[in-house]
Amino acid sequence: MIEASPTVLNFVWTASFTVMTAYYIYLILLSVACLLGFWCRKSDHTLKIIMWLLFASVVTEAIVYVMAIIMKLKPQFFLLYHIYVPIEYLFVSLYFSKHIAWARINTAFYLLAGMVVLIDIYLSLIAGDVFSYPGKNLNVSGFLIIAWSATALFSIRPEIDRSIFSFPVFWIGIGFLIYYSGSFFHNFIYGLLIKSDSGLAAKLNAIINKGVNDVLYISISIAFICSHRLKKYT
Amino acid sequence: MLSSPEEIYLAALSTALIMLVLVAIVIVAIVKYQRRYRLHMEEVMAMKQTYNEELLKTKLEISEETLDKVSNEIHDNIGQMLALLKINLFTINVQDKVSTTKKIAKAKEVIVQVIQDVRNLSHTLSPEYLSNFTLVEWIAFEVDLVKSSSAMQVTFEQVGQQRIVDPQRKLIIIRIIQEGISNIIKHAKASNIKITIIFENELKIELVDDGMGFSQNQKHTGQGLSNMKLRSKIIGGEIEIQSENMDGTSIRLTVPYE
Repeated sequence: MIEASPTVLNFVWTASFTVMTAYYIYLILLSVACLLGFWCRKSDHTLKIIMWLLFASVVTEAIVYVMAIIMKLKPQFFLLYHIYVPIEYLFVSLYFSKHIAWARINTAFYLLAGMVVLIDIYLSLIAGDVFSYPGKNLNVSGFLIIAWSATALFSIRPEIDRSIFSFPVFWIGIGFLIYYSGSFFHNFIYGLLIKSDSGLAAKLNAIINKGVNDVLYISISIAFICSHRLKKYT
Repeated sequence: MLSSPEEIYLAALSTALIMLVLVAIVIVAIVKYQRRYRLHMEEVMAMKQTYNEELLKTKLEISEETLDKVSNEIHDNIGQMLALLKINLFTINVQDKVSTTKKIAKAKEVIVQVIQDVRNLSHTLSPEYLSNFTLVEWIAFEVDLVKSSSAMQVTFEQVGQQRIVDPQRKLIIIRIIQEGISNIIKHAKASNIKITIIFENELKIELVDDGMGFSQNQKHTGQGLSNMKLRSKIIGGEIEIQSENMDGTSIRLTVPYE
């Protein structure tokens, strides 16, 4: 019979990484992706949306760092994520809506954007707590972004002498698919663990949440590099 | 605590499901892209082939048209002048010095004119000569030919700063204009043609005549209009034709520069 063993997880974890190391790796990858966003030539102008999203992420993480690490305002920093989640949804869905060749997509984008913002406000202020992890908010926008990114992946229009791997939207689509799928799983496990073993929950958070974030920022960096190479040779 | 078998199974199952769905989405997206890419390439190849075939056909038609015009020019102009020269020289009476001097002077004039016309014609027959023309020069050349060979009044106007047009596109555009002019001469019974070339974001060419026009429902048995439409399509342009019975015809060609 398979038995979960927090002891083994603890051992593997402490032997290789620490929660803070994972956090710093995450911050470095985010910063690199953001810098690449500003530096790379953009064959696809919609990438500017992702560039400004990364900039918003860097600003949010910088404030979170100051609040959580320096000022030790531990639960209060979650408030920033409650603000960041709907902003991220708006940027990401706007980016994908530009890559989906359906006339009704724009209408869907505006309708869903309004709905998501309202649901997030409800989940943060009424049904939840602004000083706790915005798991439900992430699940709502994640569900829709998975749909947006999968649709965008299937909408890539073929171009002469271009493999699917050279399209920035492919890498960004894959990145967000992995990130939000991982987030669903993370939120599920985190919800189960947080009440019984908060230490293990924090470590799993570092593995899964920061892990999928790392994958997302690596994918976005690849997308910027693809865009730069395309612009350079065209 | 995550220790009950149900929770572990649920966690493992959900992870496996998420991974499976992710992998499936990515694989299906790649396969679908490859399929669309193959179809796209087939379409592009077919379009390239049509383009090359049409370009070759256009070149042949332009050559035929040029030869036809040269043949008419030799018959109607040079032939007439040489006949005049022949009469002049054959009727010289060397005893009548005054008349002979006049006839020789006239013969000299005719010879100079014939030499000039033959030189112009030889230029027309040279493939480089016309292809070195800009689009505006070429249309002006066509307008001059129509003016010299028919009783129609043809006006040509340029709007905007002239822009360079790709040589292959230029050939196809000229052929479309020739076809349009030829249709007007053959069928429209017009007395005036106005040609306007407009250099805007896109190149626009208008051919307007005051002929008998045709009903939009009227069936056309000739290839003229369909050839013009096909040619404009292969260079990414479009043709708009407006015509009413007894109210002339207006043809507007819109083509991107590249």
